[in-house]
Amino acid sequence: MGKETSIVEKLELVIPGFHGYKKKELIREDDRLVRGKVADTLALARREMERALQRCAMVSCAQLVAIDNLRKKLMALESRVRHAEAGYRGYFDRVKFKEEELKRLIEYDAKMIELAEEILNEVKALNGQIANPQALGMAVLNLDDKLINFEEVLGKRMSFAAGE
Amino acid sequence: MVQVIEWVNPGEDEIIWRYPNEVIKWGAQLIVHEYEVAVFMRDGKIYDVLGPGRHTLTTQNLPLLYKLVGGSNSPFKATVIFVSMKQFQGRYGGETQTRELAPVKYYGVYWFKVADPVLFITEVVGGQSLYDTADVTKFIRAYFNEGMMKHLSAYSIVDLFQNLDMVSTQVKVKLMEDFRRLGLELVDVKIEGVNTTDEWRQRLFWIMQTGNAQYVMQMDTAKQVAAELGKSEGAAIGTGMVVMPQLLQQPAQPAQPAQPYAGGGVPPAGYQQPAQPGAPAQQAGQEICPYCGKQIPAGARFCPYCGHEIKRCPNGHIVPEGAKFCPVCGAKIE
Ligand SMILES: [Zn+2]
Ligand SMILES: [Zn+2]
Repeated sequence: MGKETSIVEKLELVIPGFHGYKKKELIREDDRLVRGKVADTLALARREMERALQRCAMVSCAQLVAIDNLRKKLMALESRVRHAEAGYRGYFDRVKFKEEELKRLIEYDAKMIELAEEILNEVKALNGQIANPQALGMAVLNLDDKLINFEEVLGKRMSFAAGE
Repeated sequence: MVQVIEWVNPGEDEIIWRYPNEVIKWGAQLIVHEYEVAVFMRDGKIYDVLGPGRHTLTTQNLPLLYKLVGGSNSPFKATVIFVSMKQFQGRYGGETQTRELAPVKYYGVYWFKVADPVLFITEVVGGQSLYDTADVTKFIRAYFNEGMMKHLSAYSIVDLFQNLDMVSTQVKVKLMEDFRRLGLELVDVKIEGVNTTDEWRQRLFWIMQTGNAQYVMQMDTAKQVAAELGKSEGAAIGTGMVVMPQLLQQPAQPAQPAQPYAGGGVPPAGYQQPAQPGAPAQQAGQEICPYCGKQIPAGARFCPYCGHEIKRCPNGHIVPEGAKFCPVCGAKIE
């Protein structure tokens, strides 16, 4: 085994109860656990974002509207992850993952978790720069990048799970 | 027959639903759909909360109620309230006053959802005894409007008309806090329009043209301002005419866009665009539309943003509707 095993172990570590899609009847449950973990991380980021917004409003910083737009983007992503609106009719209803597919799905999961954490860190950094216009501008751009990045991975992961 | 507790076909605008039967049997089937939460209450107090899924009510998933009824297995009394966790849209509209006491009307849309069902039930549903969706929605709208009025009234009319994006975002942040206290999450707010009286619109015009809110506010009416400024062609009459031309040249106070004014009396004008701190009010090639406050190309005959016709004096200065004299050069307007 090797690389993907270590990714699974990592996932099992951060997501209590995760089975690595190995049991057919628990595949949906595993999927729900992964999405729940990611959505929870994004929710933390959103809460941090709201704090940033409050501080920004207090000092009338010029990035207020931009920060609010990022907050909305973040909220939309959180809701998309949490409720998986696409609905799964493909892979998740199939029998069992083939080795190659399983590897891909788990890679997507790990990437999503990693990016969600990065988003959270980026928001924290942003919140620390409210009084510093130059750094704040950079933080806004960085966060925007991360959100776009995340959205991309999420999109791929969702269409994979839907069997496309 | 097994008792089934389920919110069947909730309407699009329904935020809560109370299960009409208050007698619950152990073993009853509770069906909670995605985006819903079921809250068990008794005597206005919340006991157990169950999320999405199909639950058979047992002593295990309703431990607090089971304890309350003294561990008996006979049917018990409880109010079951379903709360929708979906996003809702509401419209608002109202009137308030700016900090100069200028009357303003506003209207728009807001979006919200329940973030903390327990807090929401405690504060709104149980707290206000509103067990009907229509009542709850009405309460939320009134609460929103009250906050909107309060927060908007902290701003100057110039901020409202010239920095509306900034103001509405700041107000939204404050309203988000208000909503959080009710267990609600205010997702977004859009101010679609603000309006004021003709008299105040003219006053706004003079404030933006001269940059001197203090002077304009000292006059009783906007007409009086126009008359004062237009009395003689360029001659110094009173402080107004002496001060005016200088004010048009010099940079005004450092830009502090849309900051709620904390002091008493008449606030500083603060009419600059936030993008160019410390720059003169009207840079070469740029003018300000007196109707929407946006920067427009010099010499424009119509505002590209709000479409208003821009009236001008023979020398090309912008003048407000109905003005008899140009506020800048004093020229008579035909
Ligand atoms: Zn305009
Ligand atoms: Zn003129």
